[in-house]
Amino acid sequence: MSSTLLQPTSQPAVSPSRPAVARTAGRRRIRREWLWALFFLGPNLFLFLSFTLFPMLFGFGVSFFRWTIIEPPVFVGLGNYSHFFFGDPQTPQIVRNSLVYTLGALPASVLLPLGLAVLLNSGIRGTGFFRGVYFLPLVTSGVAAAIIFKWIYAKQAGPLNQLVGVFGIPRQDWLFDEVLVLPALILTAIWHRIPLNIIFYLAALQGVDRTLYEAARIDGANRWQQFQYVTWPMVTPTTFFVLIITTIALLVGAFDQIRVMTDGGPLNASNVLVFNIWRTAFVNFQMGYASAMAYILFLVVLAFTAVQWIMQKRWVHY
Amino acid sequence: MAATTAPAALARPSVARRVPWATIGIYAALIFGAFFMVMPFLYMISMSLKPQNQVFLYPPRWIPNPIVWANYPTAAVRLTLLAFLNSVLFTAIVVIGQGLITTMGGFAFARLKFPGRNVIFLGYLGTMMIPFVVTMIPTFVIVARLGWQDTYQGLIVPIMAHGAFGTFLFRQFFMTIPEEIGDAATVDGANPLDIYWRIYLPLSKPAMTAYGVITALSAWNMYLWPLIVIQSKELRPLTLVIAQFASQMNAELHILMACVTLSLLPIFILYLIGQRFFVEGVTMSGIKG
Repeated sequence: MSSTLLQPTSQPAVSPSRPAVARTAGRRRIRREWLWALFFLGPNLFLFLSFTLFPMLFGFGVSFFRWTIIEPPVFVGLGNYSHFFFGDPQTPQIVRNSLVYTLGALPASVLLPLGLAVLLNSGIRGTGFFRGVYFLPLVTSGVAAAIIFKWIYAKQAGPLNQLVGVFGIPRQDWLFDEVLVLPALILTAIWHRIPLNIIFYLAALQGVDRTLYEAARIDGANRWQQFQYVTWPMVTPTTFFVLIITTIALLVGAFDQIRVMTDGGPLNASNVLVFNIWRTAFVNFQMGYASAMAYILFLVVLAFTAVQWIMQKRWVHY
Repeated sequence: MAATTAPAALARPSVARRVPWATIGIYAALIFGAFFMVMPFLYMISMSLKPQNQVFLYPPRWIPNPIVWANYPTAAVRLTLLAFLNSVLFTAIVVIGQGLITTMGGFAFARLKFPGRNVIFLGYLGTMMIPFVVTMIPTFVIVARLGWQDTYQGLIVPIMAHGAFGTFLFRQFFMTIPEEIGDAATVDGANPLDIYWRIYLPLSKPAMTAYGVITALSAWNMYLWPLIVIQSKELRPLTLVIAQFASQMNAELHILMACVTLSLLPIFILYLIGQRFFVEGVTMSGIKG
């Protein structure tokens, strides 16, 4: 390791009278650094190209073919895309379900964590205990949560029916009712999403300058006014960040829950885009059509991100 | 002192009247919220300890009588040790393998000079937002072409390969380590591998913990990819097994819930031990969602 042969970098300083040697050494040094870069980045880059970049391009290509995997692919141009927008009778319902699910879960998934984070940040005793409790769904798998909630919603002996029974509402078959199934899934999604967003808000609240609250108190602001005029403006950047990632997570992350709880039913009433992509590809083996839908979903995700970024510039108070 | 006591004494009654109400309100709200958050777990545990004949009782009896601990051994046998080991193996290899390639890649991006460095890094950044559903179908086709369908390598390698986020995280962290430390080691005859292994890795424990926690969590809880790639019973991780049980064991809800509890237990224990690390890891990983 101490061999000077391996360390020509320290040599040029010793021999300033020979610039040619220095230049060769410098070039060799760059070449060697390049080899080291290949060593360090090689495995990473290889896997990145094989399982991220190549699939991205390959999937885009597949979306222009009709392909069942068993038979050879047939080029159909934009056929899969036009089928989704104009041909497939399922499309309106799937789009509507995705919108209802995402937009239905979004407000509570953002506002409840904000409120809870403010309470958890108020410095009262027992905060550690409450945090521990509130964060539990974070480490719970989507599958486990889905199984538990599936039975909470059960018609015969489900606790939800026990709860609504207190208010005189008759027993419902939540997951087998075309009207109730999406609200039931939304409730589970909110429950599962709350901890993560609390954590983001807690991090933001801890960054708010304490003196702002003192100034507000001196001006006679009550707790609500402190929230309205200090906390809310100060966490607006976080709110937009949380809005963006929660929207995306709801759009693409609904799969585990829906597969376990309803399998898209009853009668497609809970079939959202991400679930339909899986079903089209791996139950119906329409790889081309599923790929086209995956790219449409990808564009929707990008569009949501873009819209919220633009709104962020207009609304955020820094 | 004496001068300030008088107004303070005057102000005290109103404060004393107001503060408890606010505190009581906060506690009430927090307890109400906590009830909503833990109720599903209480239901799960309550159900998992019931005797068969009380499972479908209405109204549900929340405290089972008698408590049937024997449901747990039954559930453990159904789950099989193999499913548990599959989850452990999958999680461990993904965390360690991906940890190695992402720390190495992050080191290259942060500290080595090579042509195209910034362009390649931007490529990584650009793909971080891509949801897995977009690459899932072509990835399956690749795995099938490699003959890796229904194998451990088919399950593990494509997930291990999703290193864009980790590479970004470690690159950012390594950038905060002063370059002079590496330069000094170079003068002393250390090569980049020494610098990476003996200086950068030991200095990046916070980043490694954050990365480890979120990667382990997402691997342990992963369902979609195993569902696509695994068919054999012997290769299934826990999520796949309990999801399958959920559609088969309708008559044995108590055993099903014991299975779900057991599948959650390892990560819950880790969470209770290192809650701080989970929270920090998740905060750092905000971008991953």
